Order: sequence, then C-alpha cells, then structure tokens
Amino acid sequence: MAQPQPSPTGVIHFPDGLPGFESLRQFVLLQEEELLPIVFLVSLIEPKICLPLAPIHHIRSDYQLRLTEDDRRMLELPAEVIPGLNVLCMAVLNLGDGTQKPSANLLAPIVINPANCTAKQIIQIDSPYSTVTEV
Amino acid sequence: MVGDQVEVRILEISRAQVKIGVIAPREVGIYRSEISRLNRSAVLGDLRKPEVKAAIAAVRKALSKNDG
Repeated sequence: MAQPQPSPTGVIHFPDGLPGFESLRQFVLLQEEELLPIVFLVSLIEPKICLPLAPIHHIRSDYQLRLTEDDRRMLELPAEVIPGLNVLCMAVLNLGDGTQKPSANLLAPIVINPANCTAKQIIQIDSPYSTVTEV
Repeated sequence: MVGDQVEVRILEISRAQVKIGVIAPREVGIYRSEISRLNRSAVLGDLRKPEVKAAIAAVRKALSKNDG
C-alpha cells in the first residue's frame, strides 16, 4: 500500500517557471481524497492551467531521480534526497483523448521541496526514461 | 554550429538517409520544446465534464494496479 507523502499546502514557487508556461511561477497543489494518488497542479494566476500529476514511484517503483548540484541548491534540498519523504517527485500525466492512451512523463519529473514549497521540472538527461510512458 | 554551444554533425550518409548527431552541453535544453509541448497538452479541461472525470478515474485505476 502506498505511503502518504508530505503535502505542501502553501503556494508552490517555480523559480524557473514551468516549461510551456514560463511566465507562470506560482502554483498550488490541489488534492481530493477520492482522486488520490492523482493531484492537480493549478496556476495561481491562471487557474485554467491545471495539470494532473502522480507520484512517480506509483508508475515506476524503482525510479532513480538524479539531481545536479545546481538543482539541489535551487530547491534547497539536503544531500540525501528521499522521494516521498523529503522531496516529492511527480510525473505530469497526459490523460489521453480517446485516440491516445494515457501516459506519464518520466523524463521530466516535477520535483518539489515540501519544506520550502520550491519546485522545478527537471529533465533527466541521459536517463532511460521516456516522456510518454503508458500508465 | 547552432549558436556557440550546440554542434550539429553529419554522422553518416547513405542512399536513403542522413544520420545527424547533436552535440550540446547538458545545460542546453534540447528536450525543452518537447517538454513544453507535453505540458501544454496535459492541461485538463473542465473537471466537471463527464469525459474528464472518466479519464481521471481510468488513470487512477491503472495507477492503483501498479501499487499491487
């Protein structure tokens, strides 16, 4: 059974914005118990920008997150990063449209430090992961 | 060269194809346009719509199977 993750309740700040929405830097993470583990990243300024996310270890239990020193510094993460404990590692979900099957982006997880509500979508260059992983 | 950081090389030419390689430092966002496109296409429609609710339910069911 999945362990509960820390849940940032404040505004989540993306210092680099979000790819595709570079001007949007403030988001909130909305969750409804009956929809977990799916949660929703919603823009504070443009609430119609709402992305479904899921904890990446629900999709790949052996997922290896790699962070550069720059990423770690930006997010103020400790040396030992434990997804689900001191960091949230979330995959953006594409729910599909009937012609395309639902998929998850494992190549570029959204990494959130729940302690300071800072986040970044971090591309896992040179990893074996795909942007379109069937769920 | 593309700019002063990205180098495009022709690796191989055959009758039917040309194989091209891109050499760039890690910090260059080669993947960024694809990630941008995917994020834009992931934006949900109206959460109240039945088809959106159904899509969320289907994915949730698939994820719960992964939990085992």
